Amino acid sequence: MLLQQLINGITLGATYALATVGFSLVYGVLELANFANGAFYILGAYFAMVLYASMGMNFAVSLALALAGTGILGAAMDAGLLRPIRSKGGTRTSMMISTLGVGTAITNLIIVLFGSETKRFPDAFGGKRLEFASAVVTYKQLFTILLCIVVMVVLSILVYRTKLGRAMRAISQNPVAARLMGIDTNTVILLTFFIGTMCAALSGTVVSMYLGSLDTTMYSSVNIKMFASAILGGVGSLPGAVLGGMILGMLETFVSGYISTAYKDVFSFAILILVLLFRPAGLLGQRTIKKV
Amino acid sequence: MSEIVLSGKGVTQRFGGLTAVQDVTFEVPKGEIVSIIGPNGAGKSTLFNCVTGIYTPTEGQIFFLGQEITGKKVHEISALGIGRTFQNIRLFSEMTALENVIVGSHAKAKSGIADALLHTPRYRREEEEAVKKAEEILKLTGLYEYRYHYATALSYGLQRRLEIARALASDPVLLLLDEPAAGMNEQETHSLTEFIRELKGMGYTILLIEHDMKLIMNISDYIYVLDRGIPIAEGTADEVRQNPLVIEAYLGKEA
Repeated sequence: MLLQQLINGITLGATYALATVGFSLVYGVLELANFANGAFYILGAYFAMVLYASMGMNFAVSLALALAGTGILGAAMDAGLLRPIRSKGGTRTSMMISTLGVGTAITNLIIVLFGSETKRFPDAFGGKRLEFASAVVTYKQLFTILLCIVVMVVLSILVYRTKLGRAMRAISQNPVAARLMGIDTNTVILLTFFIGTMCAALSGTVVSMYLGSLDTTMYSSVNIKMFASAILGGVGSLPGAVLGGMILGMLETFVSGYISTAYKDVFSFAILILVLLFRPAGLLGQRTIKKV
Repeated sequence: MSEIVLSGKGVTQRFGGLTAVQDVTFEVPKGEIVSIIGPNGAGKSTLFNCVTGIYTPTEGQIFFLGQEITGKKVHEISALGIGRTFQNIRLFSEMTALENVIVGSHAKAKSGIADALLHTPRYRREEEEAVKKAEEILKLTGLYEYRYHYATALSYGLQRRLEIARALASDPVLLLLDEPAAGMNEQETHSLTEFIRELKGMGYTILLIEHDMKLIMNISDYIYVLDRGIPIAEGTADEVRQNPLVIEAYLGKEA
């Protein structure tokens, strides 16, 4: 029982971590809470479902196309909506409200096109599973966890070892100086949205396959979970996003398994409030003192 | 006459009803140190912001190496060969001194994301070169022993030096120094003066904004004086020093 809960918790945590990383990447560069991320999470899953389940494409191809398509839409949101706001000197609040608007529009468009009923997402691994020591690991769980690890490794290399990553960090630390160092900030921000949105879409797709179903009500719940994980781990920090997502996933699984499903959110948010009370910057966040 | 690196023709910058810079024309010849002085609020930093593309001048044109740069984007102008430092220090606070300088060479790096992820030879070579070059610049600027210190851990004088070092990493032709001696003590200012002379000796062209008159008079080849956005005088240090308009702007009208 314990081992089984642990495996389920890691799987759920991995998906939260993926979505939160996308959210944190954008936050790190723009200090913007991108609430459209939850909608891109759903949109990615619908994309993949349509290609894979309805049109019968290969799963890997469906996933790749869904990620690329959603990523492009995320980048388009930045270029078409957020960049004009920035260039006209608009505030972060304006950008944040715009992302909420985009999120609502996307979710409702999905309802218009597909209806609001829950859709089935078939298991690409045909229900195959491993059994050991009284626990069961399904292939789709393994796939989810492995994918999460691979994405984290790739993103760490990207952020800490590449020119793009260095540019991203430079922009987050001092946007004006970054531009004067020859960094094309708009392009870097565009790429950040592209990558961050792909993370959200990836998370949405693997969650839908893991749960076997998807619907648009996931939008608001995933936005809150993503925001909570980010704050828990330290907003804008990548390791923090992974840690926050993992803690939230574990907590939900264990509370559901040992206490009651009805209480899982109570415990998650109680922990969140406690962390905020005692470590306002989050578990791995850096305490920053802004000079006046 | 030597080649002109940077020039401005009738540069004017208005913010609503306020004219921060009015009809300023200037030239910066290759290999010289040209200074812009003037009381607080004279429009010196605004002029710098026009040159670097942070502002697009309301009127007038700016040329760099014979090419018009008015209205170009900040990162494009930087890539053409203009490096700058700031009046209020703007380092990347969560990076080491070495990393700060490497970011300075950003525009020159060619390798992409795929190169980095696959760790291609091109990426490795470019990273090694960037580190080597950054280390050389840190040696040159006397910051080598602090290369692994976070920018915020350095003393004020060293942070100013690091800003110059970072600007040098982009291989600039022209260096814009915005009040490099601000907040420095006499000893620090003296070593900065020597350092700016050395930069000139290495062939850099320098445009300088400064309040410290001793420093300005010591090293400038040519000086422009602004007062409330309007150019009131220009010339060599001696000419400017004796100009009654300049004395008036700084000390007030004689009774």
